Amino acid sequence: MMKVVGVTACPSGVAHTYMAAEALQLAGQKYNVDVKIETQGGAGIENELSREDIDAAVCVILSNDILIQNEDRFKGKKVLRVGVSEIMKKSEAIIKKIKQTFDNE
Amino acid sequence: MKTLLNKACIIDLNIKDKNEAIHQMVDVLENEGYLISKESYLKDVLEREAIFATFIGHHIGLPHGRSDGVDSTGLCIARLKNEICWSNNEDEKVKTIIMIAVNNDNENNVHLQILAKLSRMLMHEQFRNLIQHGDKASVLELINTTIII
Repeated sequence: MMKVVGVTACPSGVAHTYMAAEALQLAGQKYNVDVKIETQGGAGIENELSREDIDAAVCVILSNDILIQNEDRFKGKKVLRVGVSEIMKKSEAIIKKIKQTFDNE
Repeated sequence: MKTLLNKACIIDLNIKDKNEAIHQMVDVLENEGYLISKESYLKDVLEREAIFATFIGHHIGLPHGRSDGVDSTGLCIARLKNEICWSNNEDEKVKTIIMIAVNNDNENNVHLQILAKLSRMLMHEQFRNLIQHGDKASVLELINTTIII
């Protein structure tokens, strides 16, 4: 199964970080993509991505509202930067697009 | 620990704009004893809204802020009689507002985890529908039974 990883974070770390992560995971279920999202929110770093996760992913989704910690982990990967609000609104379109793009490679 | 949501914090509102809604909801949270400083919490919520409006789609606004003005983490849910604009974007119309009050105390990680769970649940259609259209007793039960760790 195709794998996609990502990290979400937002200014107050209370809500959008988690909504964006959940929206991407739900979209992954819908399109049969293995989606793992690390959250960097008020409760700290959760669901942290391992080296294996990152290596196995076709691309990385990073929210771009505030700085993501340890971003150098993703050096050399294809990175998609999207705001958390956009992720929530367009999670299905994002995952669908990724699936189409990397299925053809 | 105070419960996250009590019945008096589920309200029906007939208001004209976002500012009025936020003020009334902050009043409710104060009356129910969730705040230490109403002014400080209000300021933090409005500052957070100004960074970018907390529209989450599905006609829901989610104003929130971590604030020293909050005593105990709590929610206020307002169901509006008429839709209001939530931002300058005309597509961002809101009929249900869920206000989250979280204090700044880092030791209260449990509270942040509860809110993380709530945020995740809001991405599920069935959960949203009940919050938006269910009777107050059902909303209360839903929140207090699913948003626990």
